[in-house]
Amino acid sequence: MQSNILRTVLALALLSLCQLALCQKATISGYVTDASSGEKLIGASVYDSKLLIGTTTNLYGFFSLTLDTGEVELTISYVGFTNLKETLQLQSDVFRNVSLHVGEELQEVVISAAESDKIHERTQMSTITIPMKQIEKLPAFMGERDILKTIQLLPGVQSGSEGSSGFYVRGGGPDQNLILLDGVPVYNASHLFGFFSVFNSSAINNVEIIKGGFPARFGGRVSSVLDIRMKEGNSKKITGEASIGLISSKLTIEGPIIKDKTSFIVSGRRTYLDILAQPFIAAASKGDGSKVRAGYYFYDINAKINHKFSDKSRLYLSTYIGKDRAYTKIEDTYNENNTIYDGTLKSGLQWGNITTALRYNQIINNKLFANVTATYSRYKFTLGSDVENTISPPDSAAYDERYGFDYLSGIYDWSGKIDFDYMPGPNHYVRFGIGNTYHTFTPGVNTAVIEAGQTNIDTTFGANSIFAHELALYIEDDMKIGGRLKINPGVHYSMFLVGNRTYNNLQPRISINYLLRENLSVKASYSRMAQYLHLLTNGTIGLPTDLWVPVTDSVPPVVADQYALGFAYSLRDQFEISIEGYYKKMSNLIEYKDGATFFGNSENWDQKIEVGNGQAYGVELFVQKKLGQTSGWVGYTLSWSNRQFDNLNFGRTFPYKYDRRHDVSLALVHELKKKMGKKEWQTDFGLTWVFGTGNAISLPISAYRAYDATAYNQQEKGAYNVIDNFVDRNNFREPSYHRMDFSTTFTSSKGKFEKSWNISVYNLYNRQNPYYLFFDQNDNGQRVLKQLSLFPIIPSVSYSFKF
Amino acid sequence: MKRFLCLFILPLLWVSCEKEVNIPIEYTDPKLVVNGLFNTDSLWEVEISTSQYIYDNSSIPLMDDAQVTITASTGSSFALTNQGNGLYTSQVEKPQTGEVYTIDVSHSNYVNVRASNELPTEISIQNIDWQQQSVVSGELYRKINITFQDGPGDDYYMIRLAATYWDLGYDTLTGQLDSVLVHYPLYFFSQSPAVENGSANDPQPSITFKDDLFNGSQYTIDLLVEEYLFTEEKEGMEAIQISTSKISEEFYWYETSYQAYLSSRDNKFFTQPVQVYTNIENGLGIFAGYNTRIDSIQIQ
Repeated sequence: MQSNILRTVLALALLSLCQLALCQKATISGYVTDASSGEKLIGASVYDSKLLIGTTTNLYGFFSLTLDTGEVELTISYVGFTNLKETLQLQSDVFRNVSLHVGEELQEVVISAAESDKIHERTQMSTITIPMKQIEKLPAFMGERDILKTIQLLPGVQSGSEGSSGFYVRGGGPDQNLILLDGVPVYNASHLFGFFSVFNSSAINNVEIIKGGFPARFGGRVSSVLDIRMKEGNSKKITGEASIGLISSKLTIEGPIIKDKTSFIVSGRRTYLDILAQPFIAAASKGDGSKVRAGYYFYDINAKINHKFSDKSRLYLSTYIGKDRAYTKIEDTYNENNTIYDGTLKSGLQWGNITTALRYNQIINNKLFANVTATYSRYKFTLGSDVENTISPPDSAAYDERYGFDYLSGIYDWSGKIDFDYMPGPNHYVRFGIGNTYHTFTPGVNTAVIEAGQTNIDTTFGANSIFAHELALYIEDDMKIGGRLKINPGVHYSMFLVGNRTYNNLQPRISINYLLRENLSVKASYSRMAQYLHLLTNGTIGLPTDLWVPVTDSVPPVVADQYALGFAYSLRDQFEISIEGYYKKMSNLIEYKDGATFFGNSENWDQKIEVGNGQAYGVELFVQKKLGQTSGWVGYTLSWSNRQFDNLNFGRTFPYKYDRRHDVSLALVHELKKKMGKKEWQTDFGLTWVFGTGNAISLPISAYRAYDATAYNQQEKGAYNVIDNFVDRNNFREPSYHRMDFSTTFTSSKGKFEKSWNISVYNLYNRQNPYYLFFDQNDNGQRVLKQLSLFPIIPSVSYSFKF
Repeated sequence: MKRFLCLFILPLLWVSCEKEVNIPIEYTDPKLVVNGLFNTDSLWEVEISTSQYIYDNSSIPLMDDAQVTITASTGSSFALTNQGNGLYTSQVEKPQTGEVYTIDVSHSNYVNVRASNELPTEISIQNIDWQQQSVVSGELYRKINITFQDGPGDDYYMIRLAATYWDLGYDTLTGQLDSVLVHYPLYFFSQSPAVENGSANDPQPSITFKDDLFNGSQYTIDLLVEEYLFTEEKEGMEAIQISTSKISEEFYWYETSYQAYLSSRDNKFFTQPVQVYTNIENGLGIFAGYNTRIDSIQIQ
């Protein structure tokens, strides 16, 4: 018996050796770039169209494909670009950089997605990539195109309050989204209380959102990963883009420093309502003798430089700096009892992010790609006021007084990581890496300065900084088994060290794709995610005071397990159709205790919250057309999201505030082109429509008299309060939300110059959507429920030109 | 800070518009509401009213024709007499420490309601020290330390502070204009870990806490009051009165949820509404016992 087994093993080994000898393999590797700008193409498909074996480029545009030696029909494709086909005799390893050209409208067929890039071929599920060109043609709010608002139009992704950039993925909270800009977490992704996002679309190259089936390389948040990659900068020629809108203007310049070796991109934008309002504010204060300056603005700057040392090594340095600032300055002089007071009051609040990433790519060999990253991310909020007075009494020398107060909170991250992509053959794509983030939380530091007469106080008080390390390790393999099955198993391990506590989480992940038919596949995934940070927020709107805090003894990490099952179908190379069902279970979620609020004061924050569980489930349908004269998508989500906290709602399960039964979104872009000689005209129409079941809201069903236990006497007890009787949390629904936006862009180009006018209309049919509901009295003195709506129909216009 | 932020948020609401919306809220039959807190110092006093549909604009009805009966765990029972304005009182009966009482309220037009509760024992205070000062968030506070002995089992406490002044007013007993002792509730907070409500930024007129952290042992709780009360404001002040109460568990849940309710009502935009606790079967309100000890700090 034993000898039989030995014989079989030897025979198999011999067979394998023969196969190796007969089938020599060689590797083709290189980068895929945009021929016009040199920009790396992320997710481009590289495959042998004869054998239908292929791969895709990674985040840096690198690919590696190992094939049998012999004739190879190599096809390289990327959505929106003309396919490149090349036949080559593969004898040994080849390093080849490939440039693709932007596809023309008439070549629609050839610029479709390649086989391996089609939705039914991808192992990954619950992932959506939106072409930047589509985002640029969709309607803009007040002239500002917004990536986050576009993300909110996708199934499974919901907006919060009207106008807010915050988003809620598959029943999770806004703090459960890992928002990465060039791999660096952005902690507060909004300007102006959430009405605009911090991402300037002019500087963005690629946007991808993952809602489930998370690959093992991602961790740290439990509901989604929004991976935004900045452009690298045109390595061929200097180009620029400028635009002037109603509330802001922006300018982008990119180009080579050393052609095809070193390139840069700088993009900046600033609002200018404060500048326009200054004359009116000055005029209003003229009468009372004081001089007043006040205003609000935000700006952001994206910059990136990259240098190619050789075909095998490259360095990138990218940064984002953004700030919101509201300020007042009042200068006043007055006379009181012959004493002259000359004073200046300065106050303001400001907040903003800085993110920086330094990355170094090295192709170690044609199958192994390494990326080393060092990053810095900072979110800081400051609030301050300063009063300086010079007091000149009639009978003594003048003296100065100063009173100052500052409040500061924020989070600072230093991070280092190394990631490897290993592609041993066409059936395996292994990724592994390790990283550590050093967090510094400054949950609220106050500084007070008093300089008045003999009193001289300069004191700092408030919550102490908290330091933490977050370590992560991962390994995953995107593998093909036979012709129909693809599996991506992986594991992500994370460790969080804060104070004397250490938390560990081993998070298994798996995604499976099984090809049922040529263009239809069934997909399934399971992922466990852990999150060590909590966001203290008031929920209704994204305030700059929202504060990130680490887990504590009483508030453990959030852990979510998500299961998903779906089908993916490609229809006539034009449409991608997917339907997915999901179930997500979340533990250690936080909610404020009844009546508790948070305004930048983190003191004893863990005593103000309750810890509980949540579950979300639903079905998402998504039909997307990325190409052609008319493109866009339709999404529909049917979902449930509930919470259960022992000390809220008397322990009963209640709907999450953003539990939305039905959510429909439509985004359409239509292009019309005309050419006459060297001059070209293009008119783009963009239309979006959203519909969502109203947010869950708690409403009382009755009212009754309260008993004031703290009253000291009969008179006080007589002054009773009325208690509104809320029988269940979130037991009613606000009116449903729906809105249509429309835009048209007229573009004309001649030679290198292109100019365009964009006219957008937000809330085209002037729907009064609910922002906030409250009881009030009407004109007849009747108690009624009223709704506050924020934005009526808002037209906007912007002008931009490119050179 | 909240005020400061609101300055920047309000302009947004200014450009907004509001309208009436019709969200159907199902009509539910009114329920009897019982409001009665009892202690050893007073006669029984209970207010009976009814709940009212949320869109009803009339004033909340007080019930003067209900039958209200108190039954002690010993089996003795007596009816409360209506005094008008929904108020029912006992003639001579007073609640006794450690006794469990049940209230039954019936009315021909409403579902009968019932509640039971115990009157806790008096708190055993061992020392009150008010000489220490403390600086919190740059402000100077007077620290009042109260040391007491907690008993076995679950206990619940409430502390209030008031400044008392002699002032001209109507005597509640004689109805005559006279020099009467007036209480002005003081806002304070505690840094003791047992206390969850109130902070330096959010002082309260009362604190409530339970004995989870010190069950059965001696405990010192601190109360921080702004120092100027002991210096600038002491002119004319008779004393600072400390009311320390041991309260029943039901009283605790009612009081904490009611204070949270008031807080959320003032911050509607930023907080979830609060459901106020009730221990009235088939009805609403609170029927609960407490036992108060009063100490005074003479600061003159």
